[in-house]
Amino acid sequence: MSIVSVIIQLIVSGLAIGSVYGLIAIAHSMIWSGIRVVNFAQGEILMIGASVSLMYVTGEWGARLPFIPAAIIGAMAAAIMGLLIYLLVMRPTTKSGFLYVIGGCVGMQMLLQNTAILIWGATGRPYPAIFPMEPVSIGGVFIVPQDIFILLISLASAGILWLFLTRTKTGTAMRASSQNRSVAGLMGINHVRTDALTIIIASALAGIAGILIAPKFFVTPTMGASINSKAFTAAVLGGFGNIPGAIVGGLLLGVVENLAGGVFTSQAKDAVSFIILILIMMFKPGGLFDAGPGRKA
Amino acid sequence: MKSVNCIQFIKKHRILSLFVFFVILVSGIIGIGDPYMSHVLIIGGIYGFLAIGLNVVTGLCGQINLGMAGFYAIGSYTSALLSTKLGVHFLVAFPVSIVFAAIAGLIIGYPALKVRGGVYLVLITTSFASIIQTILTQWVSLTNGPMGVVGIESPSFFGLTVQSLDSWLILTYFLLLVAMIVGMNIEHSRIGRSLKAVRESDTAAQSLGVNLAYYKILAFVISAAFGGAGGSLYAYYMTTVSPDIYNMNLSVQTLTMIVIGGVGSIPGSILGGIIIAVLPEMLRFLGSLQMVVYALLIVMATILLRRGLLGTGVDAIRFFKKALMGGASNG
Repeated sequence: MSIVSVIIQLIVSGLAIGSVYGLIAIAHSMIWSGIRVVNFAQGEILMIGASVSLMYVTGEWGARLPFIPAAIIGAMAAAIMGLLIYLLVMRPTTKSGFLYVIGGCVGMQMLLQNTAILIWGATGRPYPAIFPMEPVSIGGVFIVPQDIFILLISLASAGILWLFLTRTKTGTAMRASSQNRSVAGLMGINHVRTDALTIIIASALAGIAGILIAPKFFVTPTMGASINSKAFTAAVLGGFGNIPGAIVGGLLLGVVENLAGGVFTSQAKDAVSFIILILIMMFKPGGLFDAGPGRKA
Repeated sequence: MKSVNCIQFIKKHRILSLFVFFVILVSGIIGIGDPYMSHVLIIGGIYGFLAIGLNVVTGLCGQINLGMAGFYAIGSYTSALLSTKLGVHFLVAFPVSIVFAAIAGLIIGYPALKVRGGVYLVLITTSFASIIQTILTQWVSLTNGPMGVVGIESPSFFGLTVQSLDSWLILTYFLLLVAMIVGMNIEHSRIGRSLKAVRESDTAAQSLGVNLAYYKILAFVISAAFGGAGGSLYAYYMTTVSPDIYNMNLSVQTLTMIVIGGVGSIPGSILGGIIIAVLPEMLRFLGSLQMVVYALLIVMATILLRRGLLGTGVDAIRFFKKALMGGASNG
């Protein structure tokens, strides 16, 4: 096996995991640009999406469903949980200050993790592979079909979201209130409705991300925390609040991280994310696509 | 009326009343003599250092810092390595640990200057703490990796070794009292006033001649120094350190301490530190529900206690005083 084919394999699996980071980064960016809060418990929403859908895939909660309906139920559970966190924690604490939002979300994170331990136990559960896992050789390069499916589904979800935001009236209303909240309100946009919709869509995306990544790792109560910190880096890389930037940031981070893991050690993989974060904050705090202070990219 | 005089007395002689409070607290715990309780309260006292540090940077200066675990780790490892590898005495290792942590605060304060908005500050400080933890785990030749450093010698003063729980209680709370006095003096000095001005509006502070960069970095340095002091004490108390305790959870817990104690209140920090150490133990009877209830209480405290326990208590006293006086004038 030549070095080139190894590198291509690393890039393909990096793109797959990177697209999942991208989905969660989109969720962060949507919430930040729309409502100006940050959901630090996004990782736990992802975990709930994955765990609930696993319950239906394995048939532990009554019905044994095929993957797609189970995934939809998981994404819905994630969306409901996101809305609950927003209404019960983020909205009341926003008035007291950003510090309290973080405190509340982090407390929520602890609460959800420990509740998940009570319900599902602390040990990891394998998620049955939906797509073929055996590598397929394409011209000497071994590619896992699952990676391709993950990449396609994430990109498709991001694409559908983009169409929704640009082509529908509701989507345009959401973009308008993210650009200028008060003027959008004067134009008759109902903030309560757009805020709720933003949270629901973002949390459902996080849920989908969790379900996509579950077969690659185990489903554990703490699975969300590390993925979420990577997603933050991806969002910052693309410019916090920039939705197309988020998916590019995610893909880039996934590939760089995977290459670092392949070339150096697996510890280097985690360190890369932090190093990128610090560098981007020092030299390009507005993200890769930032045109400079005061200008919109 | 007598209670009002008492409050006025406490207000006038803050340090004296704090000293009396600590003496009563410590002698009470020693009197009870429950070793487990003493241990939890020593840990709570060490948490107090972290909370004071975070209150300087977050409470006074308004800069969010979720990297306290990193400063704590630097303090711990500096003490541990100085003590085990070079055989340095506590009286030297303790200040050196504080200085090393403060230098780390200087390094992290600089990039923190450049970012706009709280989200970025959260990310930069959490990644700092993660990098420190990764270094401690990976640099095996210096830090012994995940195995940690063992056999840190207990501090001794004039032939008396601080080893028993009682002596540790006295040492911890004595140093905590000193830290608190230092913290309160910082709050009421020119530095504290400038930090508060930066918190309220950095543009306005700058236009009044406050050097923004200097004070923002200084806030990080001071908070790191307190974190380092706590870390050093922790290393000496436990006599062993390992990288796994300096995790994200610790930084988050510190944030919870100041939210519970009151953001910007130095005496509240100590209350917050002790509560965060004691609360899980008090909930132990709940069994598997322990952590769920604990997390629920934290979420509720964050939503409800906008001014912290101490601030809410003061508000309540004021409210009742007003109600009593109103009742008196009506009657």
